[in-house]
Amino acid sequence: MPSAVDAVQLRGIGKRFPGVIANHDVDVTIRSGTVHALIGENGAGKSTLMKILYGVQRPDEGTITIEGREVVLKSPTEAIEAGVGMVFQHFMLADNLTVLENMVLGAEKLHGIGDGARAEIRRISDRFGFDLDPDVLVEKLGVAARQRLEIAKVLYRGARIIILDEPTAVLVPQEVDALFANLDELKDAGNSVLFISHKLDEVLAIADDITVMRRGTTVGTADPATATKHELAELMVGSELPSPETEESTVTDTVQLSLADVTLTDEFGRNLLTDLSLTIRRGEVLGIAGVEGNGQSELVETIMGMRIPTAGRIHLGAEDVTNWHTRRLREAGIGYIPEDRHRHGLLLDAPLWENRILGHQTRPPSSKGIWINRRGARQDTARIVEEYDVRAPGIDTPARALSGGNQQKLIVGREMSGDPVLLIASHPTRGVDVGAQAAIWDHIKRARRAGLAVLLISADLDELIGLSDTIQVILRGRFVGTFDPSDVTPQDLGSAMTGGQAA
Amino acid sequence: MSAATVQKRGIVERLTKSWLYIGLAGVALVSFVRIVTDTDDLTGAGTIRAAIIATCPILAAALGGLWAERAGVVNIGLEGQMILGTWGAAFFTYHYGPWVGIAGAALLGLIGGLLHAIATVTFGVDHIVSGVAINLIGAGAATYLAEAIFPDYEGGGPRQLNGLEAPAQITIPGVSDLANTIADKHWFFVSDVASFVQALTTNISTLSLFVFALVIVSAVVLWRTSFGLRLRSCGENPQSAETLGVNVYLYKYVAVLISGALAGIGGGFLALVSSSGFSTGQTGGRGYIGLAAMIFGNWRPGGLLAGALTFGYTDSLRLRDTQSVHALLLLVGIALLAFAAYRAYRGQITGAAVVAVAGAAVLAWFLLTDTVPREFTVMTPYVTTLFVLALGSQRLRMPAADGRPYRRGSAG
Repeated sequence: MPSAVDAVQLRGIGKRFPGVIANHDVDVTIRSGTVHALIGENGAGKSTLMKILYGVQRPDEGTITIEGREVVLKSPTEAIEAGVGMVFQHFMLADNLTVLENMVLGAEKLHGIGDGARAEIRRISDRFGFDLDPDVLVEKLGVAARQRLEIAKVLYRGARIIILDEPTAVLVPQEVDALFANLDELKDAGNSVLFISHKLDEVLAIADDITVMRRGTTVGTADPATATKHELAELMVGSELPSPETEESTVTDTVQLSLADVTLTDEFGRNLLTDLSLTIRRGEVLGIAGVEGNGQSELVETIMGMRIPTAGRIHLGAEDVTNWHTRRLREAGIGYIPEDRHRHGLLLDAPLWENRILGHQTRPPSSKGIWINRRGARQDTARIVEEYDVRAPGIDTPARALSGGNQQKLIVGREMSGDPVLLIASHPTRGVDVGAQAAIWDHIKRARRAGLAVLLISADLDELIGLSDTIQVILRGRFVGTFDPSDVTPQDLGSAMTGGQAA
Repeated sequence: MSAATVQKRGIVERLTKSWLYIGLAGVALVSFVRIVTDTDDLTGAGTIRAAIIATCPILAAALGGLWAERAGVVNIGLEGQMILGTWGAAFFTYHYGPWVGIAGAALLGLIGGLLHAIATVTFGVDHIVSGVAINLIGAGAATYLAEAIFPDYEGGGPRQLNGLEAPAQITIPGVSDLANTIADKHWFFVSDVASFVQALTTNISTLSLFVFALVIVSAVVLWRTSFGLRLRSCGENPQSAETLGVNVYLYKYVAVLISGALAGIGGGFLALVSSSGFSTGQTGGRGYIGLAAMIFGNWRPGGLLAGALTFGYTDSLRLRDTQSVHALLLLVGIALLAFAAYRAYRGQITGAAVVAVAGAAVLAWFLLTDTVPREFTVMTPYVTTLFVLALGSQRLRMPAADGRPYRRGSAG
């Protein structure tokens, strides 16, 4: 129920970091009792703006007006007092504490930390259909339940303006629908929601108003009733959206990788992977869809030799590589784009050319006998930077200084070097901007045409459907369905990923 | 997968809740070994009294570790803070009597904690590096201060200060005598429990009771108050705590200060109760053993109490006679075989085999020899530490952000 006073008015907000202007001249108005979507590419300044509104960072200029009163927010505590609550993209929960403990932390004075709080949590949970049990450890909750807990946490503190940072990034389609139902409830109860996203379908489905950001500033507003995806995309990137679609099939008959009944058991004897069989032929992209944590990481680590399967065989070409370790596998021509480039793909504080050597330390041009070939490695790094359009000041720059997209392009370039026969790509475009995404897709398509076998794991269902020749769905360590990407919808995949029921 | 996880947690939780049963089974086992090997000393009231005295300093250090690590700061400087505590206890007891002495021990330990907090929380120094520095500083400072001050005191010298007044001891008359009578019968189980009661009710130092009470106080404060919740949240996810308006630096400071004070009290106990005076190098690595007891106890008060008692008990046995240590071999052998059976039951065949072989070796040692070399008995507490950690560290759950540097403003 929109009222006369706007929930939030941001006027002329600016924020500079050393060397970067994160925000300038940002104007956003959130009408009371609406869902307001803020869209833009990665790096458009959405996150900085939200942190300013939540008091984590202070603006250099501009004013914030909340429910008609101009405020200065110096800390999250003050933002909470002003009625602003935030759900971060990376959840702010302590796994080893219970739902109740996470909920009351920092707000113990409201309802205590005992039965009073328990009753209040039940009340909020019932009111909005959150289905939360106060005494369960957070580590036992799934992603969607954690998100509901985060929203409940914000409501518990009496927030009337709720910021959601890319809330759907971690959800399958059915869970997104459930979240949207929750948001409608919130709206009906008179709350205002600021919804940050770059998924245009979702924005058009849920938002009452849309503000678009590009390069640190607001570049326009749109009415979801009349705007099209196309128009929004053009506002966002200033040009056409790339598409992951591939052309005609390049699948050959030569099997490059085959897994036969691979089972992996952890030290407690439970199965992480159960009887997985798959084949990837040269020129084929096999996509793996699944909710995160259902065995994708373990599958990749098993193929990469970081874990040795408890049962089953793995063949690379004609060779049995079941018991091979990672270096030997890499030397046999497996390229690997890891799911978390900061933890597995790069040494953030090492220069680019040293990062080029990682995983290739036994092969030319990176090495000569037992010695590292500095000149060879540097020249080849320069080649990658050139060919893969890695935007960096030079090859001596530490990897940390690059944006996520450029770091990923460097990894893709490195893994494509040395003529791999198989590429394992885990979330290759996660957290990279649209331009880098298109470039990475192009590289994968080109390699596929040249006969590379690719195992693609992604949470982006459009990417999976667009790039893959076949899609397998993994659930609790088993393959539960095979789909042909030419006639599958994200909804079909979503329901297979959650075991058939809607979340 | 998730269903299996739930079941797994369930077992762990049941185990933690059944500490009492494990304790009782342990007493029964010790009693059995006592009768088989005919070493009444194994559970004699004297041994248990010595065990309690050996336990308290380890327990205080373990509690200190608990407070710091629950707030996410690894405090390996417990040893140094304990050493400072021994000096503080000596100095203040000499002038003002034992209870002010304990306060002085806590104060000196707290100063050690403050150094650690400044280094790790404010300046983000690696916790281990800072802790090792505290240990060196603590040992050096205590030696220096003792040399500078104690030679002028009555009963003092450059390396010691003797004849300090100890905190009062109390005896509960009726219970003590009754327990004594039962204990002397050497019945299975009953007499062992009776000697335990006897040791607790006869000439027990009030400071021992104080240290045991601190376990309960710590448990209540850390798990039943919002202060404790905030403190623990700093050890689990400080970024999240910050976004909810918790002053993470403040809580870490408070936790490390309390941690140092507790370690200092442990040092004070060594100087006032374990012996009747201060001497340099008195702690003998008990700060580290306290840390091990806390890890063994899975960062929980009940668990660390069990750990400290285990270490204290073996420590006290070595002071008694080698006969008891020899009987201890049988105890360890049986315990290992039981543990092997448990692992085999859980389907961890490799682990079970390793433990079973170790158990069989210890049993063979017991059967083939009559005594244990003196050198080995001195090693007992340290070997136990290694052993228990090697076996027990499989599924321990430390605070998620323990030992990680934390910077304000890193949320989001």
